[in-house]
Amino acid sequence: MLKEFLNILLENTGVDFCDYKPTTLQRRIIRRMHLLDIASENDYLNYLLKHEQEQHLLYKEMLIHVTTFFRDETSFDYLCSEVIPAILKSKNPNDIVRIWVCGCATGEEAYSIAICFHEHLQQVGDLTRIKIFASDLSEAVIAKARKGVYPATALAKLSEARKNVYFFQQPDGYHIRPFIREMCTFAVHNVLQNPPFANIDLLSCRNVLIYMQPVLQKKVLATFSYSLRENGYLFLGKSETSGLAGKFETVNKGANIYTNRERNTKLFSIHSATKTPPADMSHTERPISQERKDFQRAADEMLLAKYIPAGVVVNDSYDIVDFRGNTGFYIEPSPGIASWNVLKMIRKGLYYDLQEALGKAKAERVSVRREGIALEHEGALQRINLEVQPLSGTKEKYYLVLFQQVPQAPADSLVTDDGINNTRDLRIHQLEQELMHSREQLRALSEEQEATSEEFQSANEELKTLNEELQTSQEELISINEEVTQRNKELNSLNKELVTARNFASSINNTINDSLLILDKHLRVQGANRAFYETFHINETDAQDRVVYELGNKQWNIPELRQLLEQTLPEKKEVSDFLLKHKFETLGYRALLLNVRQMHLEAAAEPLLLVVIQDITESHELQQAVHESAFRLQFAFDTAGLGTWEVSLPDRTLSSSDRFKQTLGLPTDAPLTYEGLLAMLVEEDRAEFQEVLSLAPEQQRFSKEFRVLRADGSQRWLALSGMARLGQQGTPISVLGVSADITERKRSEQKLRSSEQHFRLLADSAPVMIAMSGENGEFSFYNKSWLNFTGRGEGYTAADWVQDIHPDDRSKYESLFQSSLKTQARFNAEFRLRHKGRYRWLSCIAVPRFNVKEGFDGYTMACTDVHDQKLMSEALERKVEERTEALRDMNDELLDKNRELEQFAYVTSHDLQEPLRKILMFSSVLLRKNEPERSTHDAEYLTRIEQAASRMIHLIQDLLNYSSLKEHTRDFLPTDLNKIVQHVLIDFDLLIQEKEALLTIGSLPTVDAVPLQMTQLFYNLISNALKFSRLGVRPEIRIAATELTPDEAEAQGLKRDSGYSKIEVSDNGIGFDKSYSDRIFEIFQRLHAKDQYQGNGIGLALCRKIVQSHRGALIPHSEEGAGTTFAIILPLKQDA
Amino acid sequence: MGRIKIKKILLVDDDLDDQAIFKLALEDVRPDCRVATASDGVEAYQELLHTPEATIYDIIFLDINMPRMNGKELLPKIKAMERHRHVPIIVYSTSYAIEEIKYMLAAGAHTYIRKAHSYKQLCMDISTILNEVESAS
Repeated sequence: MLKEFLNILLENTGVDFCDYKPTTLQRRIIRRMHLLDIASENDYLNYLLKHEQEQHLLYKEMLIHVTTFFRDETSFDYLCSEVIPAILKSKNPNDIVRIWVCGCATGEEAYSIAICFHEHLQQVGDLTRIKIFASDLSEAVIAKARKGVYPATALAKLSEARKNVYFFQQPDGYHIRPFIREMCTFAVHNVLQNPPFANIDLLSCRNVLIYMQPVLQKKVLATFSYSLRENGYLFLGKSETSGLAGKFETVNKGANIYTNRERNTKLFSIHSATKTPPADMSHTERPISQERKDFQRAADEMLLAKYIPAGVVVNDSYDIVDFRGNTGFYIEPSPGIASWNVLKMIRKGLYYDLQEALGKAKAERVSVRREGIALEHEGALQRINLEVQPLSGTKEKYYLVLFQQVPQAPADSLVTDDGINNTRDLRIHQLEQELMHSREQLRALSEEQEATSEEFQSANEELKTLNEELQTSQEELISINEEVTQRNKELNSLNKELVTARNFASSINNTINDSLLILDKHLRVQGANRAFYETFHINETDAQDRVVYELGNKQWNIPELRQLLEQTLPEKKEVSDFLLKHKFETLGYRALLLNVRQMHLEAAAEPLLLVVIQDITESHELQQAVHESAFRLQFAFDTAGLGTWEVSLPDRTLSSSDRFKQTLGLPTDAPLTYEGLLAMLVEEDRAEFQEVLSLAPEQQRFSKEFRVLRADGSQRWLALSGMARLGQQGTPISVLGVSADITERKRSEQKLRSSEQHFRLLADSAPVMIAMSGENGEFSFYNKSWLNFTGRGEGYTAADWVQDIHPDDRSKYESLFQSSLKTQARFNAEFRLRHKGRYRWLSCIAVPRFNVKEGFDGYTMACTDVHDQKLMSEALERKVEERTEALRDMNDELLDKNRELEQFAYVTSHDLQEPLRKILMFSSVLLRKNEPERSTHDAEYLTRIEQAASRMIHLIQDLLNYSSLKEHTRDFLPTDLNKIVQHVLIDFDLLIQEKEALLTIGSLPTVDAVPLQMTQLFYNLISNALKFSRLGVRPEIRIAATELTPDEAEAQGLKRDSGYSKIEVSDNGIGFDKSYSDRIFEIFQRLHAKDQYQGNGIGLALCRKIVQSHRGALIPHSEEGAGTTFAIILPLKQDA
Repeated sequence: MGRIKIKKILLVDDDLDDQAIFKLALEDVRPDCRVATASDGVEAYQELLHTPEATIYDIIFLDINMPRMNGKELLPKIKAMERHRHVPIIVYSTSYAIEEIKYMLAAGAHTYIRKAHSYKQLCMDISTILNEVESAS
């Protein structure tokens, strides 16, 4: 049945529980059945098959995960104080320390070890040196272990110090601190199937082995031996010590700590041992393929198979690791749990011999041989030789066990001469020996048994004594019990009385309207009556044992209350009628009257406090309201400057306030009687005052103004208002009222009236028409001029006068008015208004009025009759327009004339030139022809004709140029001045040669200019330079350009920023006086006589005009007899 | 490019004085040249129309302002005549009007000289032009 369960688990989880202790497994299954309320195992099996979830649960159940921090304190103490320092000591400071916690469950074990290491932090140095591998079969528990969160109960056994250092509290529990967590690595791992961790210094596997059967335990331990370093530590749970023999050495038995004596080097043999018989090491290394065998080896094998005796190789724990030859005869699997132990598998008849031989071989490391062991086989007797040979040269200890069958002697030869059957003798001998062995064993057993029974006897004795002691104790208990019962009865009756008393008290408490509250010394609520809970909406159960301040969501945490309870009370012992005013969150404002008394109860060591709370909120509020209204009234009177007075009716006695006296100009302590008051009134008002008083009872209330004459002679206005106070039967008791000094108001009223009158007079007498509107824009006032103009009387409204506006102007005015009204802006308007059946032009200014308080108050509009002016100015405008037109026409005419003139001048000068040219030509032809008969006079006359004609030509040309130089002819092009000058110089070739002039011309810029005008400019300047040379001096002319600095430009009144070029044309000629600097540019202005120097006085004027039209400047610089320099300043670029 | 010697010149000018002075000056500068004159475009056109192939003019001096047919009208006509289209035409005028001169040059005139104000200048001008044309041809 169990098998079937285990098979299901194997299928489902892949974990084979076959080798776990059946009793344990059975217990788990029964537990699950119990939980599910299933009676029979069959039913549970069915259930298990159908429910996958249950399979999982059972699996979890099988793997018990019970563990705690520092389980088995003593063991852990030893581990921490001895083992861990020893491990660390054996290591170099940088070596890694490896720890394996096998079966770590939810991680407590692993973390405990980590904590131990951390407690040796100084020795550890770097925590990353410590690697803790923690493994478990179950993924679920590993997940929990990784989280490292534990409930408080899990930490209960931990010392406070460890708790604080290694954990921190969070709502979900205690978290292990990261530095501990980081030391541990958690993994799902099956120690029976997965390859183990290696090179382990400390292996903790606690309470795992106990669930396993010995075979499995051994296997696991072998794995551990492999995993651990030599002398590595194994940390086991209690009662897990079996199967350790040979491999591990005890370090501390109590603590269950062992060291690995000798490391298991081959994991292979351990793991495969349970599945396939392992081959001998030497054999496995041999290649198996047939082809590669050489014949020698084949022969060896043959021999080995045939002649070498059968045998097995066993290890130190007698497990078979290799089979040699046919061992079937000697060795067979024994019934029960599968085992490779040779002693369990050996044929029964050989057991003792083998055990002995192996023991001897192991102990003495010698080969042991047993011969002729008789063995019965199928009815025949066989003799076996047994040899145990320790294998030398292997790392671990192995023993070769050889079996050899002694060949059967023929039956006849077995019978010796003396007739004794040798075989039988041998068998007898053997049996005797066996018997001897058995006896010895039996003896040893019986000795042991005797010793045990003795122990049992002594234990029995002990138990007997114990039993007696128990009996006496029981008797005592019975008598005590009776006493207790008696006491109990007494208490019961007392209790009943108490209940009655309490009911009585509580019924009183609960019927009282005032709240009662009982507090202990620490101000915790010990009780309260119903009134308290109801008044303050406090839940009774919540209040119990709470500190009073915390009641009702801490609403009672009132500073005044604290003061009272914590400071005043301890001194005075009791408090009476303490008024507590507080605004509660839920109850709102409350006025509470507190009385506190100390109560000394017999039972209680400490006195209790009885707090009686009386809610006087309403009466308190009422009182407050009365106070307040009285105060307000007084305040109102004071601020309004009102006096109060009262005249009792029957006897006319007056009582009055200080203020009232003040208004009368009396000191406050002066006596004032009714008669006195009457006397102070102006005579005319006295009767009225008396009448008012006598009529007061019939009237609701009265209000009259009276004049009083003060003692200093000043008259004041007094407003008296009041009403009669009637008694219960409606009989008047007195007249009471208030007084106010209204003199100022009266005066300002007066002033207002007179100023109003003033204004009307002013407005009416003004010749200007004035109208005023209110803030809504409706006109309400018109002065006399206005009314006269329109011819309308009073009662003239806004609509009326707007209707008087000329229909053409009305809508314009209205829209202007409306838009101005919106912004409250002043505006000017002109419109025609009806005046005696005709319309006249008015010019109006409307100004908004603002008063101090309300702001905009309306418009005041003043209009003047501008009809005549308007007509006049219209007429004027018309005239101006006419004139302008005439002027424009005239101008056009002039322009035409001008153009004609220009044309005329051009044509004329051109036509004038022609005859002159001819005169010139022919006279020069005449001169050329050197007629012998011509007199010198004739020649001279011809020359003069020539010269005059030539001058006239130049004059005409220059005039032509000057007049045609006009603004609109500007046609600026980028002009290379170098080319211009070269071109000009061609014209002067002849002259230059004649005068042997020396010209130096520098590099000139390209400027935006009219090329022809530039030619003209340079022509004139060069011509002058050549012309005005000094006699006998060779003319030197220099033309050079420099860039004008911004400062120079500014000095010439030119724009600072634009680029200018300065071209200087200088000569070494006659020069001129500086005082002529301006004159030279005037047209027809000459400095020299005509016969001295040729020229007509236009050239320089033209030059200046050209330069100016190029937005430049021409600056002469000269000294008489020292030459002349003309600086031409031209902008490089002309603006478009 | 052998230097072609200018032998025959046609002067088209309505001003008889100018004709006379031109002749005088040419006599001084190039006594071996012969000058034929025409007083307006019509006359010049007739002359050129009937000029035999052998006696074609080497150069033509052409005034602008003339009665009947002016220089501007004549020039394209000359350029349209197969025999005369390669004859260099020198604009010879008192005109300052740039537009006119530009027009003439665009219509195929070789160059432009202003009528000089002195005999000496005229002689120089003629000599320069003739040399220039001869060397360019």
